[in-house]
Amino acid sequence: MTATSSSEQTKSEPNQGLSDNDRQAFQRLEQTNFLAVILGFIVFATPVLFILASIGSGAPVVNLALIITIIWLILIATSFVFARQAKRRGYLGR
Amino acid sequence: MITLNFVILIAASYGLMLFGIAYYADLRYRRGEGQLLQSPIVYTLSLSVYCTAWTFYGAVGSAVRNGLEFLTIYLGPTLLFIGWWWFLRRLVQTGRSEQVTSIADLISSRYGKSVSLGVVVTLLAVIGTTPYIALQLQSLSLSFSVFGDINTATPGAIVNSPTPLVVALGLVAFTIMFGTRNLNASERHEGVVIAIAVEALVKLVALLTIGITVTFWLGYQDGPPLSEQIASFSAQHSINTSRWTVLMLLSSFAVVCLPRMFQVLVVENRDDHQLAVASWAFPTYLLAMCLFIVPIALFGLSNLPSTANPDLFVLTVPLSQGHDGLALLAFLGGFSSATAMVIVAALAVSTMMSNHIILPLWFWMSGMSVSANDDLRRVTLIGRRACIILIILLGYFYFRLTGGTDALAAIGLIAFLGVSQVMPALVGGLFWRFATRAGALAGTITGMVIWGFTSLLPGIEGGLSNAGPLMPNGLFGWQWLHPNALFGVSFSDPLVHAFFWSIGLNTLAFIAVSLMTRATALERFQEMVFSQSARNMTAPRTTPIEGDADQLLVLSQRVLGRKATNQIFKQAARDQKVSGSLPNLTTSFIERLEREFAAVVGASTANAMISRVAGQREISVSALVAMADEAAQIVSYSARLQEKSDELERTAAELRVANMKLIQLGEQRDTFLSQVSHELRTPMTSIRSFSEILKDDAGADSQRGAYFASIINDESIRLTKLLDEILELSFLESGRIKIDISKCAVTDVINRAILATTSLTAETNAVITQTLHNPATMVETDADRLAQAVINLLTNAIKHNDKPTPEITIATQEIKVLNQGRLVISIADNGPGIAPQNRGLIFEKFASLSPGDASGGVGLGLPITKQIIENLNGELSFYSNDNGTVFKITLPLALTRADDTKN
Repeated sequence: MTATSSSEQTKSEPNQGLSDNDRQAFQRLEQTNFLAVILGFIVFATPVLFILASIGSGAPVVNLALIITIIWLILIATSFVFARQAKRRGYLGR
Repeated sequence: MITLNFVILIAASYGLMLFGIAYYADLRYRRGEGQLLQSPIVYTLSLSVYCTAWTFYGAVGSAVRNGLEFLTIYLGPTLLFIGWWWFLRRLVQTGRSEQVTSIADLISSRYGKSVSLGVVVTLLAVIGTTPYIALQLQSLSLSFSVFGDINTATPGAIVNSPTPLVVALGLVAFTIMFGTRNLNASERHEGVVIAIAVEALVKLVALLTIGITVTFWLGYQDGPPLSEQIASFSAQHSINTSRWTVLMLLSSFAVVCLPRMFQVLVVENRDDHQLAVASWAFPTYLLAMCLFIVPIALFGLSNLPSTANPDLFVLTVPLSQGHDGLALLAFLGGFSSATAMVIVAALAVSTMMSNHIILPLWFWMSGMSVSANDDLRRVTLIGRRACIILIILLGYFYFRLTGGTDALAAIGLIAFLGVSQVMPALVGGLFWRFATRAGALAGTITGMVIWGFTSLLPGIEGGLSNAGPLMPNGLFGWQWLHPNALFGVSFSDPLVHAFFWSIGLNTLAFIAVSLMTRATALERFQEMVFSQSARNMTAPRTTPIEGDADQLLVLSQRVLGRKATNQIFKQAARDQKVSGSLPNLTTSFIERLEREFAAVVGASTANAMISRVAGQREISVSALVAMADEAAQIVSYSARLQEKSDELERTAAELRVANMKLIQLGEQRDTFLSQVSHELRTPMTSIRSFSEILKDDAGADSQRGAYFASIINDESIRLTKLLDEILELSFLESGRIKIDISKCAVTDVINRAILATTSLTAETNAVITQTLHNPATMVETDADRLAQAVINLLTNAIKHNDKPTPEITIATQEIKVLNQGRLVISIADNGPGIAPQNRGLIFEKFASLSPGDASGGVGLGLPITKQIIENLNGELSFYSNDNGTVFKITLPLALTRADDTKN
């Protein structure tokens, strides 16, 4: 039988000691992060990507590579901001 | 020209350097200087074990064969890491808190420490890892052969050379030396992690250097621009969207389920911060890894012979251009990718095999008892070392068996799909409370069987048989059991087909069986421990357990070692305030010990061992109820804390308002003092000046003298009035004022007040209207004081009115409050109203509400009025807006009316 000590878990509970403003701001960030993942998945893992890539030019594959790189970079930037905020607002338990 | 011997020397030196790095890192960690290991960057780099030789060399080959499809292998993990907050964080936190040693351990632990589930997941891992190791050996052997005389085009040339065996044995030595030197309490391998991080850097630098060199120095200066070349190259490859989707899903599953990935992602994780950094740094690493794949592929296609193996372009492109140093760097990159994968995979799978197969078997064979002569630690260590040898050699023999054919390359994806069969049970275990052990077993076995039938069998067929399809008409000649068209449903791609059926039926079986079966008490308990809601919960802690502490001590020494055991037992005895070094076998102590055991031998074996000595500790319903009660108490406590917190916030807000008011009042007081000084000084100056003139010019004409005397008189009156007001307020506040209570008619009081303001009314053209409810109303009060209050209010209403014709309405009303009659006198004006920010200050005695106040008051009228009314047991209130202000005086009503008195 295994149980986790309460003190250990308290440390990893992210909502401790946060002001309402911080909590609300982080909730907004969480929603943005979730949205980014969903949108990323919809674009990357469905035919949406190929539809996007075929719009505009006669060389769709160049567009495809470019679009993938741009979305990739946007996702990385989103994740970077989210991780920084999570740390700054004390949401990362040890 | 680089010779094979030189390459071998470089590889050996590189291997020795890694040995040195791993050894140094281990040493530093033992000295307590393990800060580097906690670095999120080291953690992120260790995750790059995902990029094996298959991706280092094979990505270019895949780009040549399938265009941009190779990107999916990187995009899947990217998406999973971007959404780390929702899934990976939960997984990693659970892994840390439960001290899991492998993915089999986590799943087994979640589903009631099930031995059978542990075995199934371990078998899946072994089957999935063996061909993958073979693939690394093939890549390594091929890369060596490029520098030697071996013709890679000749079938069997690589397989029959001694290189693969030597490489395999070298990897065995490294893995054993650093992976199983001792039994770590948490199954973390500090030295190995640092070595893997260094290898990650080497492969990234190698690929980027080659890519940059190829793109900016060697090619694309002549001929069409690179973008056009990419377009024409990629246009040759049509993209299968369903395969694209499946590959992305598969790679995102694999990044969690592959034993080596679980090892570095969960087992080696130290804190959330590492994961947070990895959430953006790992996708960046992956992006960098595939940035130059297409340019390298294009360059190889246009500059190398058509017979050149595209899987080796990374190596052969720089060699063909005479860049030996670059080729050597590429070799080291590939070498790093392959060795890192084999080492971590062998470590992870050997831990799974020893904890879930060897130890339970040994335990069962030894009659479920642990005698003092059995050194369990030795058994575990030997078991793990044997497993490492077995796994790597299995990979080697698989490589020989398949003859290093192209079929081996396809096995990478097949292995991904194989280990992904764990995903439904893993996700369900973390997020679905109704998931049961039977459901997890049913789902995983179903998925495993279908994967074997639809993917593994057709995948290895090319390597094992040249006789065409094994089952051209399906199993037993039944067409609906065809490996590529199960149940008569076929897809555009065999991988999509295998994914659909294996993961689909796996998930279906998992959900259906979970819903049909009941979880045992231990499963329910583990579910609570795993779920976030139970994280603040502790199990009942003082229940005594029947068992022999001596026997447990012996068992613990066999598992954890003498030193660690003595520390744990002595600490527990001290905590329980028991003399000696043998604590009572309480639930809390047993739990602690079991956690320590689990970190070495896995949860299921630990549970079996402890249960054997300390008795079957089935969790009773009452224990679960107790835990639920505790959870409810925590929730209630949390609510109370929230309430207190809200209350504190409210108090803080009130204090803030009070503080603001104090600051405002302080400012008002200062203003008042300066104003009073000014008010006193002005008449005093006049009086002094004119009296001096009179004194010095005694002979002046009498008319002028009279004028000066009248000014002196007026100023003296003003001065006296000001001093009277201050004095009066002081009396009122201290309650020393004399109140003469008598019956009087309200009409009389109001008329007196109107009369007193006649001159002011005339000056300002003000109109005063009376609306008296009952003109004969009598009130018991001090008539003079009440008249003074009404005069003050009337004066204010006229003076502070900016309308050409100020209109004042005086009204009276009788009301009843708690059966007591009260009189309300309202004085309403049509002035500009009181500014909202001043409404809280108007009764303050020092308030001067408008800086440019032309009324001539010093801000004492209203405070005096309020004090008067309060001294008469009444209340003064007001209502104000842009259309004017209404002041209300509420007083106790006289008991009798004038009419009644007459009667």
